[in-house]
Amino acid sequence: MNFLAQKRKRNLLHHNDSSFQEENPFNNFYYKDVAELTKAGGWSVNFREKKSLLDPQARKILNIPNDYVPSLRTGLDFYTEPYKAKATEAFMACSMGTPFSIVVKMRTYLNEEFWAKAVGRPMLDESGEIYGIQGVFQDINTEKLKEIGLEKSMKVIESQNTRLFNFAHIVSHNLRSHASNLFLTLELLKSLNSPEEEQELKTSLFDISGSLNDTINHLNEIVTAQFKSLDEQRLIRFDDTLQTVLHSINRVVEDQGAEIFSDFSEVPEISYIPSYLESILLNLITNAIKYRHSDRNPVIDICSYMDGGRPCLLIKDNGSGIDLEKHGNKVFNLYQTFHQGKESVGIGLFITKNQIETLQGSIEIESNIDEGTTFKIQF
Amino acid sequence: MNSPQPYIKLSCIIDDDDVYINLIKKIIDVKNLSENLLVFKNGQEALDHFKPIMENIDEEAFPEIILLDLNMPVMDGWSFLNEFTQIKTHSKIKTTLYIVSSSINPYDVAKAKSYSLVTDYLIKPVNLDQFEALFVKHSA
Repeated sequence: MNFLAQKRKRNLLHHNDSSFQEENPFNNFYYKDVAELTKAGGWSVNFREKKSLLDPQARKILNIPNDYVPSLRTGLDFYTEPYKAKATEAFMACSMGTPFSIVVKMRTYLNEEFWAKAVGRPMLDESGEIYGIQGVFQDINTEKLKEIGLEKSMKVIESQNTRLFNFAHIVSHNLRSHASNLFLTLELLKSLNSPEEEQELKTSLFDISGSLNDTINHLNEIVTAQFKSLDEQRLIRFDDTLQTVLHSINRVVEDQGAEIFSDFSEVPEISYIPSYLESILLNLITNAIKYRHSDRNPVIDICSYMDGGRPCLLIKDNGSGIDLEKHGNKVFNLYQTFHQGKESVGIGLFITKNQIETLQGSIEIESNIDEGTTFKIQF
Repeated sequence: MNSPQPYIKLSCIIDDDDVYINLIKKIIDVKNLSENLLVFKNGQEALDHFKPIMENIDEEAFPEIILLDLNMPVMDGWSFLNEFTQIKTHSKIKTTLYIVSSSINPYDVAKAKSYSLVTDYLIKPVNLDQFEALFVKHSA
């Protein structure tokens, strides 16, 4: 690095040479290249002379017109609302002597937002008094956006891993149950003599085989529901999907005297996988009807709304409700049923929750015994 | 080898798998492991039976061995253990409880260890000799 050595020599020999001090360092091509490469601009504020300075690279980053005169007052305009306080705090502390290094979101003269790293320190005169502050800010937008994207990906992967782990154990457990029964049956067949017992055990073999098939079918259902291609997302109207679902369960709705009210005026449509939305609505509506209250006909309210910038769905029923204190965290588990004697297999809610979470959403349940249940989905 | 006298008087299985229960019943019968057997399909049924008799220390009416499954509808093994531990501390009744499950999830095995009431965690299918040994161990 020849020019670096030259610069050092110059520094050594011209340590007190004021002419060198006056030379504008930004004219030195090394500084210029570094500033451009790192997208870093320099600034300073002189309290005594009431002057603010922005060097050429800073002006470039902030897209400032040539005739713009920076000032401390208007300086705050270059920070986005949420970060104005942080910037002010840092500058104040700096003017009292504390250097700062912060990451903030700024915006250019043309209102384009970008992530920036900013450092600053006080400027001291010969007697050690603070007469201003100076620093550098760097456009780190590309890197920061990548970082945010990576963090998001990590969260998705973590949740997928957990679900995969859980699913693997469910598979293992369910298949093992049947394999174990098969084992016991065959062991007993070895040591039994009477033909009736032998017949009984042979019947057992048929039962076990049937159960094994059922289990595998359920697992297939879950896997299929889970791995629909994400490319299939498209804009769908809640109204249309609801009509399709109600049409398919028309008989049940009539037989049970169920009434379904819907209001999708606030959020009429979302970008989603059509089969998922159908499956979600189907599951929750059939559950609401199945677990109706013995004293009244099922009434189901469905509506869409915005919450925290995300589309949400509310499904409320007047059924028999679930004791959440007792069962709260198991509602969405596989094969979990709470009401004895109901012919329910219990994989519906499991699939529904998995579908919603695969598309980065969430589902919550609120319920009171004898009053009903409300599901809240955030897409 | 079948013993002339059953090893213990009363044992109990809490499991929702009908096929499994029938098979175990047969094994206990054939090998004469227990004179009587109580069967419950889930934790709730078992609790409904045990709660009222915990107060009266009728040792004859209480099983010496309990084989508990984990995954059952209505009330699973863990919920049963939580409630059963509570009512058992106030009772002088003695019993040995084994968890017998198809789950090999290390989380479940570790959780089982945290209950002092659980003597061991057995994974289905339980080896028949091992199974017989459970009853032999607890015979008078």
